[in-house]
Amino acid sequence: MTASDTDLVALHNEAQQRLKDVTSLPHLEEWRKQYLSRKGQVPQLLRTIKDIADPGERQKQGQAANRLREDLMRLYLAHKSHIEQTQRTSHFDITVPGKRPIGGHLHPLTIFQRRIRDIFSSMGFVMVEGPLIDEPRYNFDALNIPLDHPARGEADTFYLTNGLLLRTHTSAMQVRAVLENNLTPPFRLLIPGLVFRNERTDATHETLFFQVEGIMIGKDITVGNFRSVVESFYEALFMKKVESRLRPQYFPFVEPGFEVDLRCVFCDGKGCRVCKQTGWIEVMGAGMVHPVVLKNMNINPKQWQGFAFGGSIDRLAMLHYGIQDIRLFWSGDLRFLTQFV
Amino acid sequence: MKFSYAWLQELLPDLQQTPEQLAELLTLHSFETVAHKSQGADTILEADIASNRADCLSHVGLAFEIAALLNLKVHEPVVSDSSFAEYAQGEWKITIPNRRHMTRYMGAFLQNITLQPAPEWMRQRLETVGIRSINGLVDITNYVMVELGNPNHAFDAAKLPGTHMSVRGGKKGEKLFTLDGIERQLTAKTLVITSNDVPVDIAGVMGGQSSEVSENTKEIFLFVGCFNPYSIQKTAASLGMNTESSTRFSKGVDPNLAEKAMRRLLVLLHEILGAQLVQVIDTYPKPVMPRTITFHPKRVSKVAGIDIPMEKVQDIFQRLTFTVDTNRRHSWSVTVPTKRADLIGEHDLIEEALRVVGYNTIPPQVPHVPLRAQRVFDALQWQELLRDMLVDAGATEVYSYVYEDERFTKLLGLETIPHLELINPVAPELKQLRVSLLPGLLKSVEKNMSEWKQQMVFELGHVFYPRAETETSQFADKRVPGVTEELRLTAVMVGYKDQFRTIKGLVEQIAERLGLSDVEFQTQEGQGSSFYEHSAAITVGSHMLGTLGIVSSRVTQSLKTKEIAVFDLNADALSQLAQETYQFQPLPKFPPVYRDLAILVDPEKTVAQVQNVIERIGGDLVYDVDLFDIYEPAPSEATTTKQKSLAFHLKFQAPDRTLTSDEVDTLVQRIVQGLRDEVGAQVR
Repeated sequence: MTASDTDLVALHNEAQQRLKDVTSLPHLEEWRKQYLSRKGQVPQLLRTIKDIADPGERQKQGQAANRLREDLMRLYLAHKSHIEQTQRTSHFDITVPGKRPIGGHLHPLTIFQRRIRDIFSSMGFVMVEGPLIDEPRYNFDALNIPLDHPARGEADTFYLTNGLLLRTHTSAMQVRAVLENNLTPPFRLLIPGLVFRNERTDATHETLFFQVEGIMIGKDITVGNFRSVVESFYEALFMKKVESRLRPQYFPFVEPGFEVDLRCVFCDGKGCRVCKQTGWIEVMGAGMVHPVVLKNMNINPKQWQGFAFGGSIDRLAMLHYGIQDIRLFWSGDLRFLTQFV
Repeated sequence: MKFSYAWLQELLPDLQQTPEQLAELLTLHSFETVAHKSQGADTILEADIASNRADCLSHVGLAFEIAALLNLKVHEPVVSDSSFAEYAQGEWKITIPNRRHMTRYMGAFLQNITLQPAPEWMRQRLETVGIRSINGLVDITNYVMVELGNPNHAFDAAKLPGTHMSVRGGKKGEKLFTLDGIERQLTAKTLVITSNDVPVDIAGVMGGQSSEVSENTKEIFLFVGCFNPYSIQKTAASLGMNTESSTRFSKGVDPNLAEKAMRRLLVLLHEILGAQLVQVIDTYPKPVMPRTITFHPKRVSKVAGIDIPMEKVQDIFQRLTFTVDTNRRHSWSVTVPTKRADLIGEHDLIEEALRVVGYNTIPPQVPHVPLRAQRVFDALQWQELLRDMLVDAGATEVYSYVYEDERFTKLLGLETIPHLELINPVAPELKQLRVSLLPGLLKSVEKNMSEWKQQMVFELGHVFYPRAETETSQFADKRVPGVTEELRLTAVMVGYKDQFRTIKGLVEQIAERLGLSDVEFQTQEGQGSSFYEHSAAITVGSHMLGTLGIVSSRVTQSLKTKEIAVFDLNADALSQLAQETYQFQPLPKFPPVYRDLAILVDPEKTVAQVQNVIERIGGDLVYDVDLFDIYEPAPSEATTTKQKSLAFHLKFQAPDRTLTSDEVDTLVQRIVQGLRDEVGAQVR
């Protein structure tokens, strides 16, 4: 029997086809024996080549048969390593749950306050903190809040038996911060902290919450500058473009005074549950620092001007994280606290 | 406050805006306003008028505001043009003994009244703004209040005790039935209108029942006045009453409005009820004059940050009915009407100009400011580091009320510590301000117990003490006289193994990370540790840093929890003593040699005693002593020995040579001998 071209091609196809069905090493060994071992079909074929009479034909057939043997050997080795690989990994269960390092949880308001501080730090605002128990003169008088202002009543303010009070806003720290640190303009300060209101609690009201207060004084700090600073703050906080709207509002320690609305960042102003279908969310009170307040800071209001703002951190955090009840912040409930990493 | 759109339309004949457009306009330029449908064809505008805009607490007042914003004319209601001088004489008399109570008191005596219901249009308007129709007389007085803004009152003249009207504070024991049928106890804080010194009306709040008008009323004494806002606030607060009248007086009524209101009342009372004026009296000891403010028009642009032309500012002021004198080049004299008592200085006028222009026409402009680097490590950053360290150790951060729950004050024996107290707490059991974070943390543990068998929680928060004269703590916040505010870091562990060592290790790690090298723990007994079963005081040098320990079983039993381990640190001290102290040490040139040492000692011997012996005898060659096992048989255990077993890894190293085995073995022998002699240890 002598080999022909068609025999070689047929053998190649047959061997390759049968290799596809081989899935285990013993089967592979059988395949090897059949085709490539000393008594296998390929070496047998090779041995018949010497019987070809025509030297040219003999050489041609010899080369073709050798190529066939090399091809099959390569296929054999590749298939062998494939089967070995599959066997090594097939019983490794990657669905086992991960074992996490022991870690606790920061309070959501800590996480959120850090974001706020970081953003204002990046704009060069210096952090200061004030006492939680304060004197009426810093909480009210220094801020141009007259004795007959309703906010001074016991219905809104917690008073201590010693005549002091729990500060009702971080604005209490405005004048104190400047005087205590002998600050002279230009300066910009950020005053985050707890404030207290004597009111009935419900899902949106607590007797204590965090506020963030900012104040920026310079030679020519304007309403336009205020809009820029608050918009860039909220853009950094919500990580999207925002649009502010200022509405007139009365706060005795600023003039002009305004309430700041943002075009609702949850529905882009189309109207949703969060913005109560108005397209706007109220985020802070603000204004240009009142000349009386500047004088109380020993700053000449004819030479210096600037803005101040203050808003609830808790309310923003509720919007941001989708928290429905403000009282959860103070609940000490681990089912709530462990949701934040 | 509610306004009728139809009524405003009548006052502003050229008004083109829809109610919704008007609400938007007022919201952006004056105060928040919303429009909503009422019954019938009218629309209600509900405006949240800020306390400085008392001039807008009436339809005519709001019409003037809208007129200024839209440059319209106000069609004012008809008023009587009678000469009051002709009616000055009569038997009625008014006095204002204390000018701090009232700035103006106008009174009029009218006769020939035929009481009948107010016309339909008037009752309709009152109903739209939320005022119930009573009778023709009362409706007219209410109508004029809502129209012009000056609250007023009609007494049945025949029922008044006399003709001498006055005003004073209430006297102890005095009582008055008000129109709502409730008997009010008067105090010095309650201002009353009197007739021959008999209280007949709660000033600025509500009339008295004894002089109430009825269908039989033929003669009235009409009161139109102006009280000091503060005295009406106090009066209303003293009785817990709020009325349409007191709301307006509390925010301040223009004293110069009284005459217009009186003249308007006279027209309506005559036209509708046929009333005839007999006498009118005006007691106005110190008339309020319009204020003139010096104003630099350029400052408007300087505050806004955009150019606002002077002509535009002048136009706005004129629309607001200010008188502008522009004779001088750089400054104007601007005279504002007395109804705008909120306008005191130049800054107020700048606001008027800007709000009418519209704040939202001012585009955001990035500020250009000097740039300065800030110190990296301040107290705030150390505090954040403390939080991170605790979270890394597995603790969860809790925020709790600063009001200390009385139940925990008692449970933890904190009553002996002086507390600050609130006058008006949210609840009686929450009247004290906390002196420790432990109550809040334990409350949280108690709440979570059913679901969380293991808990580790912490809080970084303030505690408060009344400040004693002798106070020496140098770290606490003493900015406010009489108070010491201290930041504390407190952690609680429940349900873990080896809790004491874990919580102590955490304190050691904190101290190390904050660069506090000489932290010491001393057994603490007696005072200051009443809620502890076992505890240690933690000091750094001469400073007290806090305590740690195991909470007494009395507390754990009461809370029905397992053993509770606690540390309670002064975070002000921590963050102020903290320092960044990394200092590179050259790496050792010669290899270490390790030996293990296991000994048995009597249970009363402490690990510290054993370690001291090892370190003293080992000297500089002992590089590290690591206790890797401790076993103490429980008292109940039936073992032959009651001794405890301690096992250490010892690491020996010399800076200048490789230690030989012999050398280390000899040293270990000496250590063993020392331990035997000094603490009675046996090698196992």
